[in-house]
Amino acid sequence: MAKQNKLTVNEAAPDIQVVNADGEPIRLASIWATKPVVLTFLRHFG
Amino acid sequence: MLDQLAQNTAWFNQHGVKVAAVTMGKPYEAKMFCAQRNPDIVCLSNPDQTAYQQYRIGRMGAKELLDPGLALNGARIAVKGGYKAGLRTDMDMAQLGATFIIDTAGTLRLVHYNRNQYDHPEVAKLKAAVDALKAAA
Repeated sequence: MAKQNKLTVNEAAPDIQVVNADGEPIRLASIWATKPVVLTFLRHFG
Repeated sequence: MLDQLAQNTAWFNQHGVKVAAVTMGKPYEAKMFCAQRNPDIVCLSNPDQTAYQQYRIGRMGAKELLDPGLALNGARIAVKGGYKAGLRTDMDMAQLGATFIIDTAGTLRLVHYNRNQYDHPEVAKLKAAVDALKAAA
């Protein structure tokens, strides 16, 4: 598989669907729609 | 990384910025995990890792996976109580993390890809990016 370029500053953030803590689908754009967000992707629970 | 963010969530919220964390765990696991640290963090679940892929977050190679520090770090977290029984088997230990700051237009204002399991952005760097974002608004 070809290695994809990493995202960079000033690019559009991918708006995809994930699941909230209650198990309901949620689009990431709904999180940053009203306020900026620090979005961190964790690699483990710890 | 989440512990550092949890300790500073009030600062980000006071500056009009949300803090959200994506995990590979199931929703109820994510809920418990975040609630233990700071209930103001928006906790998200992405077990199939599609979000990790869309955000082009890398994975550790064989060299990093064979690093004795990985096992030691896992043991450290287990001792701290970060790992819960039953969580480990369906999680991807090779997956790396990343942190982004995204403005209300959906534009990336800060991008940090963790280079290895120990790497994460300094909270001061995140705060500086928030200050710059607010100054530009």
